[in-house]
Amino acid sequence: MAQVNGEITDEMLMAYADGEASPAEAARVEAALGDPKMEARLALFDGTRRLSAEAFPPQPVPDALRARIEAMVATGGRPANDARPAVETAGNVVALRQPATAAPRRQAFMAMAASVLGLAIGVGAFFAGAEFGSPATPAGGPGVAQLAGLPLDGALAAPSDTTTNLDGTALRTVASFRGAGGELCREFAVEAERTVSGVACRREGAWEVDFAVASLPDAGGYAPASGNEALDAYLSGIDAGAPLDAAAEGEALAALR
Amino acid sequence: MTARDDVGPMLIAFLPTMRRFALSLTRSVDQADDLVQSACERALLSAESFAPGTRFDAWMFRIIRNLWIDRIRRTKTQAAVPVEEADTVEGGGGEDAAVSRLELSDTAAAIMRLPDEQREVLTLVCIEGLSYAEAASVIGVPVGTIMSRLSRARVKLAGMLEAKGITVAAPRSSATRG
Repeated sequence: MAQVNGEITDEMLMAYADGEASPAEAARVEAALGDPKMEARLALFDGTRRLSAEAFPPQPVPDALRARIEAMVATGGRPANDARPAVETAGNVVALRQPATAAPRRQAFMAMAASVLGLAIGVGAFFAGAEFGSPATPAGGPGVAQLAGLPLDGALAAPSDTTTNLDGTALRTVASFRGAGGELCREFAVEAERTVSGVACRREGAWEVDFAVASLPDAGGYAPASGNEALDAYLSGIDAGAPLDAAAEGEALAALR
Repeated sequence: MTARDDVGPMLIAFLPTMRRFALSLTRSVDQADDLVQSACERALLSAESFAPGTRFDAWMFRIIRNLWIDRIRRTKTQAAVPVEEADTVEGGGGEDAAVSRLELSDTAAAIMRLPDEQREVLTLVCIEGLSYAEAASVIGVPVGTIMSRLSRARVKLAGMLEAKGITVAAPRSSATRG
């Protein structure tokens, strides 16, 4: 904290300039006004606020974006030209609109992911509900089958953005979040011939891979800025919590040991 | 009336604000618009979690920011595409018009060069007009952290602008402060 005089800090002056100072602090600042250095500092805070606000006036919204959002609002959460089944909310439970025979929630997400995959990615598969250590029968092609048999346990307990080499296959932890039941979940990416992005959640002392999708290898090496649509759809659908920050993640991972 | 019925129209009305905040995060117009679209989808799906009467823009900023953080972590690289700067006026128009347009684009460019943490808090408080407490809840840090980042951001910005010959210090208005 820079100090202009012995008692009044930059932050106090800034709070005063922004109208955020407590009455006591404001009184202290006002008592010291008249000091040219303080006046200059106050002017700096006023000036930067004014210039910042002027630097970014609201811009007109491109017609195409507006149209897409309006269409999305009209259909209640999916773009109008998206054939994915719409998602309804009832209280805090997200359920797929589905025919009379209600499918278990995970199977419903598999169906949703499959249609998303068909549209957005073209190749890929998923496998859900398989516990590690047990022989899994992945529903998918070679990309997702990479996961089966990998010793993921240790790798999934590593902090986010750690890459662990598992027998020549690299697994990178991406983020941690809480699932709808409060369970600790990890988003991860396995890089080999294909990138397999996935979500694994910790239940009853074991990691379960709830979702995995393989992406098409891209000849141009372009990482689509729009991210992974299937993964996004899955995270939205399960009401995933916000990514945990480093401190919260550290605590959650420590609790695993 | 469902929660989605409340949120839907607000999304449209707040599009300019959401784009502006997304742009401050992504520093790329294309990525910003993509981020806004995904955030709108997420907002509609989570409409139940918006408490009517509370600040909608702060709620959306949190959604947009969480999406962006997740995307950065997945790709491990931050958007490095520079924002197109406003063209400076060459000839034509008065000297004042040219200078003021120059000033705006220089300030915008300088803000875009601030470190991410400083740019983010400067955007939320000085551009989007959130209070320190509101900004703290969007970013998920204590108010003290907001204040130290914000003061450093403004001191740094002032230095960058003064170095370009742009006068930062504004005479104080006579309106009551504090």
